[in-house]
Amino acid sequence: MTEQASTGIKSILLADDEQGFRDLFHFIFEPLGYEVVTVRDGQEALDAVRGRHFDLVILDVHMPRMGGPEALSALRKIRPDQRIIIVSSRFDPTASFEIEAVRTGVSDCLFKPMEIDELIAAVEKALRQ
Amino acid sequence: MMTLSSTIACATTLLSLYLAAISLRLARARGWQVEGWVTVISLFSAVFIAMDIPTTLSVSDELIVIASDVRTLAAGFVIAAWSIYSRLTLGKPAVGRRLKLSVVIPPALGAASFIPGVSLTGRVLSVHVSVLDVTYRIAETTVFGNIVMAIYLLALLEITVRFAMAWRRKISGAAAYCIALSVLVLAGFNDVLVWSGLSHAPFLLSVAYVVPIAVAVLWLTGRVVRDAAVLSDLSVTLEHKVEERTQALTLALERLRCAQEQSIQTQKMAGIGQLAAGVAHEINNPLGVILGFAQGMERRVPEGDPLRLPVSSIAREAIRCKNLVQELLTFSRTTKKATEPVDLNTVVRSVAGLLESRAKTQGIRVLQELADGLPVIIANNTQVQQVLVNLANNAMDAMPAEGLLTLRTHQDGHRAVIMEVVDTGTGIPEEIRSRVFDPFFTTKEVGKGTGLGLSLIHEIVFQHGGSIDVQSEVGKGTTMCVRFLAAAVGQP
Repeated sequence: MTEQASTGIKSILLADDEQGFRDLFHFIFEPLGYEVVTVRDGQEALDAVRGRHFDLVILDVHMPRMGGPEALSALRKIRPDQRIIIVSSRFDPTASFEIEAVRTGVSDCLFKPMEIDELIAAVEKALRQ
Repeated sequence: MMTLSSTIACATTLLSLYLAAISLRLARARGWQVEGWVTVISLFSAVFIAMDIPTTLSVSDELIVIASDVRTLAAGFVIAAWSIYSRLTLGKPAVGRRLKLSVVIPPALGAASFIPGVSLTGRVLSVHVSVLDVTYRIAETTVFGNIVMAIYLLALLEITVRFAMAWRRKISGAAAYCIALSVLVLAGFNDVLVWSGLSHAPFLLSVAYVVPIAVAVLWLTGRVVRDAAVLSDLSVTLEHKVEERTQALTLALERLRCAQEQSIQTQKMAGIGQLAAGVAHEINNPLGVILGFAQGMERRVPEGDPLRLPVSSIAREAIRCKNLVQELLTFSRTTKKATEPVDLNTVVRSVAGLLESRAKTQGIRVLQELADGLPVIIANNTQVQQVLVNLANNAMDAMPAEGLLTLRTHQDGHRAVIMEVVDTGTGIPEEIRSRVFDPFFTTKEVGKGTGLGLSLIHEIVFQHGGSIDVQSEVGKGTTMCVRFLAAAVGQP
């Protein structure tokens, strides 16, 4: 952990049930010098976070087993200062969870399908905070 | 031989019969049955007066005595009929012991003269009436006959008093009856005086009998005239009311039909919207992956590389899909929006600000023609803005190289507020004018428009109970006319 911090390699954990998105994150962020770890749902994300430090956690809202909202609140208990980005694939008209998440300190909330520039900018911004 | 007196007697008899006929005609009208008693009174009065004719013609004694008895009987019936009529016409029930007495006793007394051995009249006398200078031969009344006469007069007096009391209570018509019957009573006293030799005035009773009948018929005729006037007024009012109600009904029906159409359309759109939203959500994930990989590759494939074109194309088309999905989602969310009073002029002013920069780069002049005192509409402010922005953008699309864009508001009658977007652009050919509001219909080049813009506007305007209308001339320009319902007075 200290080693990673010293070398300046930032680590990202992505929890998304879509194989395509997990592959996409590896494809986009690894060449940019990030360490990318991907898991399939909220439960796996929590297991991963318990094991080690991540500079940024990206949570999909809709996932089987444990979705974004539950994972978010559990994650907050384990690591209160964790930087988090929410990715939503279903824009319900009220967007109540997304709005609430941003209000309570989530770095950003993105809506699929997002453009790559938008995604990279959001990740960079979150890591700068 | 005919004398003046017999002529008068004949004339008054005929007059009584004539009045009987008129009152009978009136009494046949619905709700006028009570007036049938006027007919009865007139008929008996006619008999009473006719029985004067034998005395004035100086026929045989026997005939004069019989006529005199019949006359007394007829008078009894007249008094009984007056008694009933007075009660009915004054709105009292035609029952009661006193009424029964006043109805039964006079005819009974009159009939008594026909009982053998009883006669109200005795011998026949010649009476000279000095005023007219004629001599009558009349049957002298017996003591019993005089008592009957007195009872008759008292009964008549009672009826007169009944009308007088009604007159005091200001019951209409009572005054006329009271005065007419008073004349009759006075004439009766006059005759009693002449009979008893205390006066030499002519006998007046026969002529006087006509007076109350004439008054009754006159009174009835007045009522007919008054009722006709009321009826005529009523019919005018009724006609007016019917017209008013019909108009209100037509309006309500129109509104109902409009609401029904709107509800069907809303349901249909809600269904389509749900479907679209569902599809859109499912497409978002794969689309995100396609777009992400394409754009990721685009960053790495250098310009001039043979793979650059296919990768850029995939990225560009994915963005088109993304925009389409977003518009579909917007479409599905046009229902159930909060409404508030919206001033169209305010909307136009704020949207005009948004259009400025684009208009400037295209060399388009934007003109605002806003009506004063425009009523507000009940609408969703954002959606109305969306409508105007969309229409204005379409208008500017139609004017690639300069032109005039007019944003106009005005009121049409009490109920409609109009917002017009007028351009001097290319115009819409007639053959496609009816299709411009169809979903996915577009004339723009591929990638420029999804074909959902106008259909979305149409949907929004429709849900606001408004309508949208296109007027266009190829080469001259297009006018988009959006009609909203003005908020009713008193509505917030």
